Amino acid sequence: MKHTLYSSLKLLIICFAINVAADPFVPNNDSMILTILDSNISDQHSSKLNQLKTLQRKYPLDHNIAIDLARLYITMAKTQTDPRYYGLAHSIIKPWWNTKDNTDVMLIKANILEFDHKFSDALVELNKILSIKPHTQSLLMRANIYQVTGDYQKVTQDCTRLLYRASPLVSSTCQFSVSGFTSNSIKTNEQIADLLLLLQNTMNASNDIQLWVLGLAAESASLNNEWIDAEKIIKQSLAIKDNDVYILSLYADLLLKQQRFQECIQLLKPHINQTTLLVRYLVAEKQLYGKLKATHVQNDFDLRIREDDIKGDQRHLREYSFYQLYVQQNINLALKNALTNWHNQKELIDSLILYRAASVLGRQDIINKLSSWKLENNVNIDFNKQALRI
Amino acid sequence: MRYLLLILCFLYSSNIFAHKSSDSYLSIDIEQQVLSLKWDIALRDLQNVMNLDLDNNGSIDWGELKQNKSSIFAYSLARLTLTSNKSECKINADNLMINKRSDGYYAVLYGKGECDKNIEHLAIKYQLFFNVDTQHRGLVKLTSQETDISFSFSPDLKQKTFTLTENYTKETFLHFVSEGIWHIWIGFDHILFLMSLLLPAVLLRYQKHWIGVDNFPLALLEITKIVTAFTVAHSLTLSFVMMGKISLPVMLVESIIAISVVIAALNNLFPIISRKRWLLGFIFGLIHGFGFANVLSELSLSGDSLFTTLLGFNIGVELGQLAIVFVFMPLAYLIRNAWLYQHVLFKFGSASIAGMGCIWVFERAL
Repeated sequence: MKHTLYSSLKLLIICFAINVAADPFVPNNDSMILTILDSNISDQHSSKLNQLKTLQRKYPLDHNIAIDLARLYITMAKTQTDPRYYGLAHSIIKPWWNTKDNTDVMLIKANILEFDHKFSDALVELNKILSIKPHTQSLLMRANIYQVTGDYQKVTQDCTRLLYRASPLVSSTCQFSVSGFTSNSIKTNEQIADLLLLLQNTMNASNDIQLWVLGLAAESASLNNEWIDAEKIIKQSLAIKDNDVYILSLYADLLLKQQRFQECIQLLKPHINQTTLLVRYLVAEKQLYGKLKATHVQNDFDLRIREDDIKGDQRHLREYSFYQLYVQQNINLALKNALTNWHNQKELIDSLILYRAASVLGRQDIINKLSSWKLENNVNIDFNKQALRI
Repeated sequence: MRYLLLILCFLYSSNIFAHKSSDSYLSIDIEQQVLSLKWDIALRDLQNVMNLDLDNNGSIDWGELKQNKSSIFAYSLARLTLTSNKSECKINADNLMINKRSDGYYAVLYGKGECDKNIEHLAIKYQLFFNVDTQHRGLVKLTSQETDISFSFSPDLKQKTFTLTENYTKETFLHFVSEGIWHIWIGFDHILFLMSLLLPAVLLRYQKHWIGVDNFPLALLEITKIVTAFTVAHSLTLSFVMMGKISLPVMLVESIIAISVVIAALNNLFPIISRKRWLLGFIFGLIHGFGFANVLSELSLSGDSLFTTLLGFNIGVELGQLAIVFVFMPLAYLIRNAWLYQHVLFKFGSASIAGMGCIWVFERAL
């Protein structure tokens, strides 16, 4: 019995280990399945993908087929949160990469550049599209990039332009993405209530739109210290889609803020293949047990940081600085990465990580820089209260 | 509405990476003129360029991979060129195995290569998957008796020549010199600790009062003693930590560093050690060394690279400190007798540093 239990445990450990350091092996059985092909994954895109790939192989220089396939890859990259598809999309449209008049290619290009965190280059493409024709999708995308880079005035301008182009729910949510973080506490609560009412009264809102609205409302409520409301909205979102990474990360942040580490671990355990959630899982584990239990996961994560360093890839500095700040407690390194990240992207979470690292190290110059940015953009969030302190 | 779905999808998934980007991992071990290769390539990536699913059932099993062995080797090795002394090294296919990584199974290709002469410079041309996936990167690890090099190939950088002698050490060394300078620049607590020790260096404690020193070489000697003691101490602990001989919890180290700032500043206001301040620099320098080690703890260093790294980082830290001393010393000496220096800069400055240190102690202890 003891032996069986031991063997089972051993097997379990082997199964769960992401064996970055494991030795290569030769399977005993020829029928051992190694991978399921993406064209066989039951997904709404699979049949279209096969069809377009076949066509593209047959007519590699047909730009319409290439655009359709690249566009599908971008959609799959986002729905499956799989970065590999961006590289495939880029290769497909490479012959038309420097187009001056094909707005479809420009939009795909803007998406790829945005994924690479080359935000100013992505904006150049979107500006080109908008100078050729009015284009709602590009306008909404530009507003989002301005928000990521922390230019709230320009977000408001683009959202205002959306007023008569998009549905009331979409344009209102776009406006709320700024006003929900720049208004005073009472006004913010009113706006959240109004937005939720508008959502309730919009009959045909798709799940994606609902999640967008609810996610922003929850984030705003959480940063406005309305934790109970925020949790309620988050639970409403998870009832629509229980594995949405953005919603789960909001929920995890809320739980960490309230020191509900056990609940955070339970929430994130099935989703630790998502790096954004993995770092929060590791923080909760460290806080609860005083050390990390999932050492194999941590090793994999450490390795990934080293690989990105070798590659010069700075796209994940937010997650890395979060990890260095709260898990490794290597504050100097966290500050260095958080600052580099903040120069490129200034979402509120980026500012909060940087604020915490700077305040621990007493870097008043960086705190002043954050205050100036807040003042310029009328951001009404108290970084000192909202930055995670554990 | 379709466009909105796409864009909204983008809105809340833009900064998330669930899976990894496409990477292959190529290890090349060099011994004289013989090369041993181990190349991990994701099955997903191979499937993009060749059909591994021989029975078209939508999955790849080990049997199918084995049957594709020669085409996998042929495809991959055709996209890797190794050149030494202007002649191409011939690579022969060896075993095929598999390995599981965080993003799925990888084919592991083993190969043996031979070059004409002993390899001093190795040129690598890497072109795998670049034509089908612009995000693909080739992570190469080159090891020989003298070197251990990691490098990333990309569509913009497909070719590189590596020198397997001291040049890499020089690059590493310079890199860590800059890391050391950067760390002093961002390490506000180290700077304030040093400033607390330097502020009284141009003053003399005489009958319970501070007076300006009239002997520049004496002031310079005092500063030299402080900086040297601090340097020797933190170099010692930094080296021992990196060699794995000693360790302390990060939070404890950070808290003691904050306390050291408070003590050094308070010692200016209520002097206990007024003559042998270098001793204070030495004692707390030992703790600051642990703090510096935290910066380097990310890297798993060994052998030669450990020595090069430590030397480079320490020299960088010293250069950063010397820059502070060179700016501070002449100015402080010039105005040492002024009321502004003795009351505002020295006393108020020390009190402010102590206050800042107290805030850090409080924050870091939480």
